[in-house]
This record gives sequence, C-alpha cells and structure tokens, in this order.
Amino acid sequence: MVVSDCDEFGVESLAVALINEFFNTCSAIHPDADSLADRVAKGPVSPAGAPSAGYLALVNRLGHDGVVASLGDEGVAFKAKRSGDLKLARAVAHPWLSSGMLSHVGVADSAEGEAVQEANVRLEQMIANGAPQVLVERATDTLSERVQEFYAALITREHLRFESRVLFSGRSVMTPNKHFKHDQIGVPEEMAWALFGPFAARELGSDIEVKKRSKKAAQVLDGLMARMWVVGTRAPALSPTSLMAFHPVRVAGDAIQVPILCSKLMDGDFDGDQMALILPVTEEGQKSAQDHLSIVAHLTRDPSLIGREKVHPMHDAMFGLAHLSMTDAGLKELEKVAGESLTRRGKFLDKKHFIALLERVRAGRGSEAALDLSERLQRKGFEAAQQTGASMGAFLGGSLDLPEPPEGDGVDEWRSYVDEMAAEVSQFNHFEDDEFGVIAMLAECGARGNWEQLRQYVAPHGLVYNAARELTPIRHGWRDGLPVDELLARTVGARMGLASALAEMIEVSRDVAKQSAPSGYGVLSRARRSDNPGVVFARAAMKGEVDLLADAYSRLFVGIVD
Amino acid sequence: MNQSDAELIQRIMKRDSEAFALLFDRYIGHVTDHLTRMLRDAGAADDVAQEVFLRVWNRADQWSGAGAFQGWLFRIATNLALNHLRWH
Repeated sequence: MVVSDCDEFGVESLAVALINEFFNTCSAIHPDADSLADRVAKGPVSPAGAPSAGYLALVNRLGHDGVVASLGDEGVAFKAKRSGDLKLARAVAHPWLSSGMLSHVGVADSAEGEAVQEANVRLEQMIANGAPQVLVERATDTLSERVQEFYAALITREHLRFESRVLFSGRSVMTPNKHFKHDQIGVPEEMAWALFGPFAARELGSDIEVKKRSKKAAQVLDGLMARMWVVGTRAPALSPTSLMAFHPVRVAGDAIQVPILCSKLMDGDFDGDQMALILPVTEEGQKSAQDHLSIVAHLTRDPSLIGREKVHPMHDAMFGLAHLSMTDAGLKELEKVAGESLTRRGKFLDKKHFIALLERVRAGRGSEAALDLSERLQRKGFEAAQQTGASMGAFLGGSLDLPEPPEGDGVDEWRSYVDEMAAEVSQFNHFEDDEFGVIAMLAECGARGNWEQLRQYVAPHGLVYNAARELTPIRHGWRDGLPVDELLARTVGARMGLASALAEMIEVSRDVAKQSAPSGYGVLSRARRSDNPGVVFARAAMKGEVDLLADAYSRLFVGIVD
Repeated sequence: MNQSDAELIQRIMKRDSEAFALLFDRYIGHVTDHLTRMLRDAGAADDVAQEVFLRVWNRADQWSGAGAFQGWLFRIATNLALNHLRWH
C-alpha cells in the first residue's frame, strides 16, 4: 500500500520514528527493500538512516534538470551542472530560470521525456530540410512547450511528501468485532502469516515450520502478535486518529476486524470501508506506535475525544444503557459497572450523562481507566439491548395520533402543519411503549437519529424546493413511501447536500495541508511550500546554496532521525 | 489581392517561404481541427499538423493541380493521422 496519510499532520505532531519506518526503512523503493523480509527473519532490523529512499529518488530526478544535490555533514549542498545528454535542436527558455536558456535536457524515461525527444527530432528535421521560418518557429514553440511539460512533471510537491509504497503492509475491508478490547485488531489469517511470518521464523530459528504453518508455528505467531503493534490507517486521513496502533489478533476470513470502541475514531461505518495495516519492523517503530498511536496515547494527547463523542458507547449499546437505567435495579447494575452513584435527570440516563462520567474518570484515573470503563459500559449496553428484544416495526408510528396534513398546496398552511407535527412528535415521552417508544428512545438518549428524522419517517415531509427552485409539498413520509415525483423533488436537496459535503471535505483537506506545511526556510522546506518546487531547486543550485537541514521535516526527509 | 492556392503552390515549388507562410496561415486552423477530431489529442494534432505542412513544403510538386488543393492537403493530413494512430 501507499502511505501518504502520515504526511498530512506535520512531523511534529506524529511519531518521527514511524514516519521514518514507513517512508524509509520499509519503503518499497529503498535500495535494500528486496532483502527486508530476510533481514527481519534473521534478527532485529535497525531503522534505515540517511540518505532516505525518498530523498534518493528526488536527487535522481533533480539530476535530469542539471541540479546536483549532495548530502554531507553540513546539510544538502545544491550545485548546477549542465543539464542532461539530449542536445536540443534549438535552445529554449529555461522553464525554471526566467533569465536562462536551456541547450540540453536529461530526458527521463517517461511519457513527457518521449514527447521532448519527438519534438526535438521534428525540429532537427525541419532545420535540416531548410523548412520555412514559419514551420521552424512553430516546431520550436512545440519543443519549448514539451520541455516545459517535462520539467513540470519532473519535480512536483508530491515528490517532496512522505509518500511511499510500504512493505510489510496489507489492505482489506473492515468489519466490527464487539469482543475485542480497544487495543486489539483482527488480522485475517493470510495477512497475519504474510506480515508476521518472518518474525515467527526469527523466533523459531528457521522458516521451515512457518512455511508449513504448523501448530507450533501458529502458537509462536499468535504469541508474538499479542506482544507487537500494528498500525491501522484509513484514507482519507483527516484527523490524527486515522492512524491507530493495535495489538493484532489472527482471525479467520478476509476482513480486518476493528474493536467497536475505535470505529468512530477511524470514521468506520462498515459500508465496505477499507483499511490498511502497516507493521513497524524495527523496535523503534514498535515503541513509537505504542507511544503515539495507541488509543490510550490518542486519548492522553487529546482528552476532548470523549467530549467530541468519539469513544463512548454508541448505537445499540447506548440504547441498552438508557433502557437499563429506566428501572432502579438497572440503575444499580450500572452503578456497579461505573463504580459510582448515578442519578437520572429524566426517565433514563442519556449519552451526555455517560460522556460526563467518562470525562470524570479520565481526569481522575487516566485514559486507560476511562477506556476500560467505556468498554465495560459498551458490553453492558449490548447485553441490555439484546435482553430488551427491542425491534422496529414496519408501520412505525401507526399508533400516534397525528394531525391531518393540509389538502391544498398553500405554503403557509404547510409550514404551520410541519411546525405542529414537529412539536407533536418531539413531545412524545411514552418510552415504555413497544410501538414508537423504542425508536423514540434511540433518538432521545442519543443512541441514533434525531427527532427531525423520526418526524420525516412517520409524517409528510412538508415543503421542499424542487429542481425548478419552487416550493412544493411532499405529502408522504418515509414509512408510507414517496411517489416518484415527490422523491425526485426531495432528492434535489439531498444531491445538494452531497455536493456541499464533498466541497466541505476538499476544504478540510486543504486546511490540513496548509497547517502541516513545513515552516523552515531551507531549500527543501521552501520547495515543499512552493507550487513549482523545481524553480526553488534550480535557483538554489545557481546560487550554490546549502540547506542546513535546520527543521525537523527536512532532516526526516533526508533520513536523519534525531 | 488574395492569391489562389494554385498560385501559392507554384511559388512554394520555387522555395518561396513567404508564399508558404500565407498558405500555412490559411489552412493551419482547419488542418489542426481535422486532426484533433481524428486523433482526439490536441498535442498530437499539433505535432502531425507540422509534419503535414513540412510535407507540403517538400513535395509541393506532387500536387497535380487537377483537384482542389484543400482535398490534397486533407488527404496528406488523414494519411499521417492514420500513421500516427498505427504507431502510437
């Protein structure tokens, strides 16, 4: 898999050793990549140092445009040399140096490089054939454009990111597992042998048993997996918790199994979501994963995760807790789990109550205690929800005494109706009612949904803007089903909602990228901030500049881990 | 007064680059459009268009003068476009 996610948050906020692990030690383009699995099987592997795989790739690319970068004790020195071996039929303006002309290009093996060669051959032929000026000028312009395109593709900001295909990684669909502790993750059988097999071979002294997948090898494998950390990541990574470290557990099947407590942290709603697992192979990488990316480390770094509703019991579990708390006996059971007395403010304890409880525990006894409690409450909640036997009827809300919808299309009468309906539905408080009480409690306790969604389920939706931007009444609710014309009118808003959600996501990505831009003034930092990094390198080479690698990003990029 | 295609070709056969420039300006847009439609690639169409006019310069004497010059020009363009599609 390709890792670029860790780049989004800046090196300061994440584990430096881990970025070096993914970008350098385990990079598929590292010169020693082919022997990594063998080295792991033979003994402990040290983190790769400078020059990093990504830096070497950059140096190679810079060489094509006449920039020599050399890493020494002082930092990275940039020098100019004549560009590559292809002599241009006519010199063209240097794409990166406004005052310079380019007579030679070091065309790399790429589509853009081939295009330069073709354009150059054509111009040579025209000059050799004594073609008229108008044709020669046209061919020269084409050559100049092709050179520009070649240079634009040669060095981009992507080449300066911590991005690499990573060895010792795998990807699969993720599913929830309610039996796992918050620091465990289920690794599919095949993936487990592929990722951890070399470690088992090291422990067994040879890979013979591992290849046979013998009982003894399986025992060793399971034992070492329980001690190790593997990093799970989801794309797009828009928050630090998109990278989380877990203790792996070998499971049957093909899916990666995630503890329920972590599903919201990883933005998993299990509708086919995929997840990648990356195994740090060095001791430093393992320690870094535990110290920075375990759920305990995340919560310690950011206690607001509780308040932001990321690690509390949710959905069925929350419903079960609320339901249990309705009786005095149930409340006592919960007090036993919580280890303190609990007081109902209404008919039951709701989400806010449990979040406040978890915040108190975290502040008093630490992150691990808060997570353990959240997990115990979650188990209790699931158990209680199961015991209620609660379900949702197909004709939900049929027992409600709701006002009749208007017969006409008048905007005012429909507005009044919707207001009256909203008030009617939200005043419902017969939560013991088997018919509407179950789903009403789901909304009221914060387990799932809200009152507005319930209203739209049982009653006409009211006024919406159709595709012609006219207010039109939707006379049905989801329970009864919408006729085609109403559904089309209703989905205009849904489509607009999707579009704005997408726009919002792009905006968030931009903000994250901006926040993580390196702040240093060395050549590498400036290049990474620039829209056209090649210009930065070319100018640095012309001046003979040395990047002293004063900032963390630049040091890490070249492979120096402090 | 605008010179006809035939008159310009006569001059081109005598290596008159001014005449070539006039003919080039007259037809480069049409030829490039035609090639873009065939190749569905503006960059490739521009490349092939240059080869078409280089061929006009080198082989102006091969136009018999019997049909319209435009027909001959577009036949060259079509053949070169087909060659391009064959080799790319």
